[in-house]
Amino acid sequence: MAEKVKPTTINHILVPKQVICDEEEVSKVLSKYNIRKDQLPKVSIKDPSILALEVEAGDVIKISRSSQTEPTSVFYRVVV
Amino acid sequence: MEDLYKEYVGKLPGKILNDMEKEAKVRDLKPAQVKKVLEYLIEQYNQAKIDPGEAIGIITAESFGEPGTQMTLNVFHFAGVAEVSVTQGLPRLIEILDARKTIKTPSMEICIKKEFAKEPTQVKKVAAQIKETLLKEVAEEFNINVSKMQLEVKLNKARIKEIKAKPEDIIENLENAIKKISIKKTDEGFTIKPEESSDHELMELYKLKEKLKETYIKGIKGITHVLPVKRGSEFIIITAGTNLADVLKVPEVDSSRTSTNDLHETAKVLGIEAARQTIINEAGKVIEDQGLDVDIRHILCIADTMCRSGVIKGITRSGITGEKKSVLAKASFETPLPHLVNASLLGENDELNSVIENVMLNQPVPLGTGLPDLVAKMGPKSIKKKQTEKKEESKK
Repeated sequence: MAEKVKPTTINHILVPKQVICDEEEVSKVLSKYNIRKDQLPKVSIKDPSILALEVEAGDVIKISRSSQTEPTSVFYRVVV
Repeated sequence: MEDLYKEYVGKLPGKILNDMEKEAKVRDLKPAQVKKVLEYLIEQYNQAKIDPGEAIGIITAESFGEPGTQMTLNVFHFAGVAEVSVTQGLPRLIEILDARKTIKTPSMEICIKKEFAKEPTQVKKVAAQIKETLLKEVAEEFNINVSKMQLEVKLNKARIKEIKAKPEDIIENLENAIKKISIKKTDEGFTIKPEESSDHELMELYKLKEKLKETYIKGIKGITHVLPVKRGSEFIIITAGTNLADVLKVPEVDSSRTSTNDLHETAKVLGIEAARQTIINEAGKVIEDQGLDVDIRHILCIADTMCRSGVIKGITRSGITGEKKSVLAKASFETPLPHLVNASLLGENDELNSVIENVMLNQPVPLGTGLPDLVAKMGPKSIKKKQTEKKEESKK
């Protein structure tokens, strides 16, 4: 049997920095925009860029993008 | 001075603050002056912000639509000396926004690791390895030997050396690709004999020969053309055809900068965030090549909307337009009849929460000043209470 390869973070210019967001920050974001968790933008649990984070459905990913309009813009996606 | 800027983090976007810091240094401003400018900037920034209830989607659509009418309809353009043609202008923009699964001219930009990227000869070697090679490209001759009923293939030794293939590997690849043949290695190449004989042997042999010519033997599948190009101080390889997953595995390739123009492939290999960035880059490239000026925020709006659900959805009736709740809104986009028929068969409700269906029904649309509604908390208790209050008042 082939050994299960542990996924590594993708190092690529197109892939921004992604971390799992803690509960406190999640509730802060949700109350800021006055939304429920399922109204956040989504990301698939099989998405190759978050495999290394070993997320579960319902986790919120914090994405720090570099953008043309801001040095770093923060974005949130909920794992589905 | 540093503290002064820190005070304004969060009040002003980082980019404006950075620009301000640079400009203040050039002009040698005093802290009091900087503060004055920053206060003015905040005022201007808040005025420039989009108002609540503004129809940004429609503004984006208009901002893309108007320059779209000026784009060239000429699909093919040969960039410089390159033999690789790339879809440009309106057709390419439609491809991106529709998120087509198969695009007209898939292409990759392969960056080579720094130690290989300086010498053109080394880059050429890498390019030759990446290119998908068919048997007809390494073979010098195909002969049909009628007396022995077999095919004799003569290989071009120089070509084989160039792509770093061994004759044994080629034979193995051929055996995997075509069933029921036996291959024997000879000095100049190899001979191929069908294992089963049939009545039309010569015909079969001829067919086999044509099939063999188009058989893949080496390289990365899908990459049909390679073209080393100098960009800045280093060489990169532009390809026709794309296979991101396999190209990233090639040791000489710089896997952190290599990209493809295929949105779905990017999403599959690098994830949805990379796909979003690809949409922005590709759409921006089209706009820039055409010499047009569309604000980056419009492109960001489209890219964010397309990638909102975790998979790329085009602006089509099967994509994000099809996700609309309202039947009338869906019917107003494409194929109105099927939408209306299906909705009436299923007995769907239309909440009339959006713009287009209210336009159809000649009602105020929930936009701008039409957006806010009066909301009063009126539970059954509060109604009763009010009614009793009224009665008491009338009694008095």
